[in-house]
This record gives sequence, C-alpha cells and structure tokens, in this order.
Amino acid sequence: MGIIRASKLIYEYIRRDEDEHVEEVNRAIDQLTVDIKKGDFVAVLGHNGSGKSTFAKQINGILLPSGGTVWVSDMNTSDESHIWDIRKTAGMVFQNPDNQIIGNIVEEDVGFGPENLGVPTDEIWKRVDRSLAAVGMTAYRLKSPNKLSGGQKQRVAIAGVMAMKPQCIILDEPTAMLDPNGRKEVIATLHELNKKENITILLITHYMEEVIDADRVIVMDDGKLVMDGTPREIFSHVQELKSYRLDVPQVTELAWELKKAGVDLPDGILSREEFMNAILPLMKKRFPDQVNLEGYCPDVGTFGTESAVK
Amino acid sequence: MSIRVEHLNHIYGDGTVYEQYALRDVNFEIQDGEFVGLIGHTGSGKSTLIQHLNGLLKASSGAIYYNGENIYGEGYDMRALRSKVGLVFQYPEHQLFEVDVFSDVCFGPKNQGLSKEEIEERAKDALRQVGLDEKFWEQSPFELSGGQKRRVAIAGVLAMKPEVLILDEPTAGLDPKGRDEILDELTALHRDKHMTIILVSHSMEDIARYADRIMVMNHGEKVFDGPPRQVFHHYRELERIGLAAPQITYIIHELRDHGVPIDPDLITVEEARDAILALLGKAEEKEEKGKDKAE
Repeated sequence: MGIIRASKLIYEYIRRDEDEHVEEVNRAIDQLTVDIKKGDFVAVLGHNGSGKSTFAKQINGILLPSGGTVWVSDMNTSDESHIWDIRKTAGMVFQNPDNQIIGNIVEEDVGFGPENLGVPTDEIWKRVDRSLAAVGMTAYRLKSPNKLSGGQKQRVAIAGVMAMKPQCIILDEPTAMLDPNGRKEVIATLHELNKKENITILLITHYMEEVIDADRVIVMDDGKLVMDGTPREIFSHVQELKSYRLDVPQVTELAWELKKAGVDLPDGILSREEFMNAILPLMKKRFPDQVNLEGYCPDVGTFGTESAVK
Repeated sequence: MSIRVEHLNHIYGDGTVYEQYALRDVNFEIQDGEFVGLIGHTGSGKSTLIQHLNGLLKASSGAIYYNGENIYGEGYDMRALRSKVGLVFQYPEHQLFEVDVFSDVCFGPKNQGLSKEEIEERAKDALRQVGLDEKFWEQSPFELSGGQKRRVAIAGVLAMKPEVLILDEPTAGLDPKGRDEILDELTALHRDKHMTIILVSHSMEDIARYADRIMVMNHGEKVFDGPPRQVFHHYRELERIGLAAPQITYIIHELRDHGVPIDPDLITVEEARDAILALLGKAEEKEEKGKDKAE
C-alpha cells in the first residue's frame, strides 16, 4: 500500500450567491484513483486547470474531498484528528519562493516549521543543520533570504519543509519562476533527497525536461488520470500528449519527427545520449569515412539495457 | 522610429559602501518592427533594463532616445511615452481588478482620456487580438483560467495602442499549449501590426523559435547581441553565465563532434529534422510521398 492513496476522489469548487444558493459547481477532480509508492519520484503533468494543483492540496488537507477518500500514510485526510500528522508527513512547496519565506535569515526560516511543531530547541538546530546540508545551502545559513537567487530561495523553502521531517514532499511548479540554472539546482536537489533520504517526491511541472528522470509520470486532464507510466512509456505517445495540451522534450520530438519520416529509431527517446546512440550508427552508414562512434556503443546503449531490465 | 540606449548606468546606493551596478554601460538600438528576445539569469538586470525603456526607472547616467528624442530631456512627456511603450509585467493577471473582463481592458484607454466609443472600440480590438472569445467578455476576470487571465492583462496593455510591447516572461506558469498560443499571438501582432516586441524569457527554445535578435544580459552588462543562431553559437559562454542554448543546439554540436557534416546554425526541431533527413537521404523520399498525396 502506497504512502499516498486516492480512491474515487472527487472535488468540486462550489460557487454560491449571496443567499448561499449554489450558482455553479465546477468539478476539478473527477473520480481520481491513484496509489503512490513510498520512495518513488512521481511527476504530475497536465494543462492549466486540469486539476493537478487541486489534487496536491488534497494530499496535505488544505482541501478536503467532496467525494471519495485520500489516505496519507494510511491516515484519512477527512479525519480531523489526523490533520497535523498528515501535514507533518506530507510537506508542500509552492511556485513563488518569495511567498514562502518569512525568516530574516536563512537558518531562522528553516527552523520555523519545527518550532511551530513544538520540537525542542536542540533538535530544531540539528534539523536545520541537516536540512541545509541536504539542499546544499549550509554556506548561506546566516544570509538574508532576500539576497539569494530564485533557485537558492526555492532550496531554502525545500529545506524548511525537510526540517519538519516529512516522508513525502509535494511541489507545485517549484521551478516556474526560475532561470535555467535555478531550475537545474532545484531538480537536482529533489533527486538527491529522493535517493539519499528516501523521501517520496510528487513534482507538478510544465517543463517536460524535468520529468525524464522520474520513476513514474501521471498525466491529468479534466480532473481525471489519463496516462500513467514510466517517462519512456509516456513520452512515446507524442500525439496523445499534445491532445492534452502538453509537449515532449525537444530531443523526443526530433526523434519522433524523424521516425515519422521513415528513419529507423526506437520509440520514446528521452535524452541526448539515447538519441546519439540511435542516430550515429545510421550516420556512420551514410558517411563511413567521416563519422566516428567514439564514446557510443549502440549495442549496449542505455536505451537497450534499461528497457530490458524492466 | 527606434529606441536608442546610450551608456546607460543604473546604480543602487550610489556613493555608499553598498554601491551596486544594476546596469553598467548598456548600449543598443532597437529598430521599429524588431522582435527582440532578452535573456539573462535572475538578477542579471533584464527587468531593471525594461523598466527604463518606458521611464518607470530613471537611469543614474546615460540616455535613452525614443524616436530620436531624449526621454530625460526637459519637458519630455513621460505619460505619452508610457502609452507608446507598453510594459506587461510578470504575472500580469495579479493586476486585474475590474468586475468584468471588458471593463478591465477599458481601464488603460480610459486613463488616456479617450471618448467612450474609442475606448470600447480599442478594448474590443485588443481582446480579439489576444484571441479571447467574446463569451468571456462579461465574465469576472477572476473566473478565467490562468492563460485566459494573462490574455486579458495583455489586452489591457494593447488597448493603449502601444508602438512597442515589452513582456516580462509572459508564459511563466502556463502549460505548453497555452505558452505556444500566447507566443503565436505575439508573432501575429508583430507581423500584422508591425509592432516592435521585446520578450524577456527563460526559455531558450521559445526565444530560438520566435525572436529575430537576442540580447543577453549578465551582471548588468549586455554581453551578446545578435541573431539567435549567432548567439547560440556561444553556448559554452552562455552556460558559464547561468544560461543554456536550446536542446537542439547541443544535439547539432554533438553530431558535428562525431564528424557528421551538419550545419552548425540549426536551432529549431524543424530545421534539425530537415537537415538530418537530407543527410540520411530521406528528404527526397518524403517529398515524393507528399507529391503522391497531392496527386
């Protein structure tokens, strides 16, 4: 049984007029059933308004189901007595780092969460040390958060969540406001936490390149789960993704376009290395004297081995 | 018509120990009808720079000429400048406030002191230009989706009939389709209305596809300025200053490193596809297929 489970989850935004009569019901989540395994790195894709953020807010009880059930570590989110344990278990990071940072200096900000949980002072400092080290921000602990870059601020926000010792972190477009370097920093930090601390990660994003290293990708549309699989499985369906207003990484799109035009390439190429492994031998055949295959071994390329293991 | 920036400096805490250059000796000229991409990492001075272009920030030294006139000259009409150079901030939908979409778009031209008919005409034009269906015009802007709200905010600036439109990351937080839609609409404005567009973006892929010229900022200085192909040639330098080139650029360079005779200047998926197909001898085949279909 997974750390996060939703069964036939429904959530409706209800608009009422001044007399509390229902004017409009907007179903943001429609019969969503999903089971997230502990320790997985899961990416959630979907267009604006597909229900991703609403789902994220269900997981730590900011919103409660209109129908169906959500369990976090076997605690039902609708059961009020569990709400604080649920929020300790599942921490959230939002899009805008400036809205989430409150401390005057970095270490204060990171300590804010555990302080609110009533953690003893010694233990707070231990957690602050550990969390800052985990996101690679120890050198900045006495700096003002205002002086940090966007990516650094987001890492401080992640450290703040880490300090509450969650088993799972849900991030709602944490890189939308960052430059390419900031985005790389944050995504690398998340993979570190996932591998070293075994924290389950649920990453909501619109950047397809951030998804390729996830263990699992789920795609939402109209409040429903419409695709679910490994990045390779998901990105093999270029046409279907486009129908959900989504996209694929440029390298995947290029490989797909070439394949459509008759070039012999495998489905769902995700990285530059995979693309090179597939295309260089073809180029070698055309230009035997010019092309070298240095650094590439097409027979045992990443592409073949990984799918064979699975 | 043009925007000319000469030796522009913007210094915070001038003369104190905290003195810091937000812009340092920036020079360029943007001609009428250009589509310029402005890139740089967070804190590189992009946003500071664009706020100078419509007079929201005043330079510590240097000059800006709009259509040949110095905007810091005595008696220069800053108000008029601000309606000619429209600035769409990051997350502009946070600035929506009216009861319905249409009134919100009318706000700008209303402040310009135009007649009611003119105001409404402009609002309608602007909403059509951003492709917002008429059924939304009477709705509250707060009930719209993220992409729709952003269109309303852009329409609000367009309704002032600017000659230059500057947008600070207009696609941040939008899904891929919404991003393409907004950028396609900007391209249409650029093409059909001959509007000058300055697009600030963190997406190298978008810039490669849409801009004719790229300016790169780093630590308050302009470090590159040229056509996208030329600027992305310097992908290693771009990486050193916290940026990158589009993924396609890396693929092309890696192919070349392995001896594949491919044009180094390709920056979009379509260009790379066509070049690789030609190299593999598949291009004719594809054309023939197309002919068969046509027949």
